[in-house]
Amino acid sequence: MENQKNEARSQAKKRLQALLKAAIGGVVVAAATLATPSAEASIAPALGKTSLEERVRDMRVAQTTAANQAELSETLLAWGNWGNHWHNWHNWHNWHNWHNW
Amino acid sequence: MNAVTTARLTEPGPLDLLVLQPTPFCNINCSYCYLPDRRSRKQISSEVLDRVFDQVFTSGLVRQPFTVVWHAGEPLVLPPRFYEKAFALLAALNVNKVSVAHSFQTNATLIDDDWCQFIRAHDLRIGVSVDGPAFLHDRFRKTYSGQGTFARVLEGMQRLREYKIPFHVISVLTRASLDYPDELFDFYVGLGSDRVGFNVEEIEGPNTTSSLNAVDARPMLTRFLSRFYDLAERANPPIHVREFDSARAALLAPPGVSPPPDQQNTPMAIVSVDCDGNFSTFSPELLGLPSTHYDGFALGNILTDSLADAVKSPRLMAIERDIRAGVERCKATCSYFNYCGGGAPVNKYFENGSFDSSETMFCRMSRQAVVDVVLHKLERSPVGVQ
Repeated sequence: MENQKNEARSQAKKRLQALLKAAIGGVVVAAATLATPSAEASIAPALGKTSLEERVRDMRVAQTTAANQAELSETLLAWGNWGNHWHNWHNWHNWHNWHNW
Repeated sequence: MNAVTTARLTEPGPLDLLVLQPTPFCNINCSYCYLPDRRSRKQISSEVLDRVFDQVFTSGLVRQPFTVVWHAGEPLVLPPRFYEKAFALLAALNVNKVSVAHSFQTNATLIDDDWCQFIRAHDLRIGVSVDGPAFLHDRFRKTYSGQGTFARVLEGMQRLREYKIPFHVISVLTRASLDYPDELFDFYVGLGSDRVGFNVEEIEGPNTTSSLNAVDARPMLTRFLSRFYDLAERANPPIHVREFDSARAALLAPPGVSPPPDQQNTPMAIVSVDCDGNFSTFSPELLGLPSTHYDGFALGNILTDSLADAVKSPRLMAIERDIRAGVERCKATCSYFNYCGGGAPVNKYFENGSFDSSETMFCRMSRQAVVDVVLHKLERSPVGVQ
């Protein structure tokens, strides 16, 4: 008896899936597209220390395999030297390297 | 004031930034300004300047090159000859010939040929405060009669370009800005300015509210930053955005490397002196703002008190202890601590009511949202060295 019920449910589910694919699939796809967050909207705040640390660790691993590692460690980190400074002044410490007018 | 421990929590200095207020007066009247006294036409005296430079060089705080920022009022309302004398005064007292850079953060409305010649002659570093195209800039950056200042700012920046004087731009982001990343980007490209810093509208001193202090502001800012990041990265020549550069450097720092101590959390890394000679440290905005808890933030007056004594003063120790406790609180509770370093004291005090506190709106907007965006971008593509 129970097996028959399960079989009926399974059949009903298959019919529904077929119906969705054939008839109203477009609507489903459209709804799914609308529901998919944009690139910007998917930038969620970090929810916990572990989560953020794990993401940063994984990103670093991926970045260190990039070919531009030497540039990364020198140029890019040098540009970041202003960090943790008073924001009402620019604090770009490599100012004198900049004469690109 | 609470009981004070006598143990030094953080080594004072070295001096990194000397913020001097030549005058509190500003010729314009931005609605979000944190300066309470910007209509006053007072001017710093040569006696105060002489004492400041003398004390700075004899205090033991000068252990590396440092920058003098002429700020906290519009510095260009005083004429070039005022600065000519001030620079000479400093040079005469700089017996060890420490490298000192002079910098101006200006609204650019007063820049003319004389100023450009002076700036070039002294290799001054110039930052221009401009909030984007006229429809954004003129909402907040107005004259005392309520007129927009954009046209005059543009004229000033044009003059700088004619003289081939490099300058960076600092723009305050308000809620009104966040729908216009493309317009802001086009504006900077049109200026030819390839260094941009974004300041969020802050709650501090007389500015007791912020248009960004709302639940939907962070996703709005995130969208703005994400779009601007993409535009800046594709730009040719590239545009350096201070916030992105910093976040990238923090996120890509080798594992185990601690965030550098925040300049604003280190006693005497910044020394701020107002035009009357009152001096303070930590966040420069604190000087001149009221505090019943510490009986003000000024540590003394340069005409009667010494910087060396101020370093040991009970007031500094009390403020320092509370700031340090706040940083420890950040370290214990905030997932972004490794990419920040402990937040800005002035924002903690005026948003949370205490230095001994952690997250602020300023943190969420100026650090957390930026880290979210930059991490998201780095996760999706190898870093592009701009």
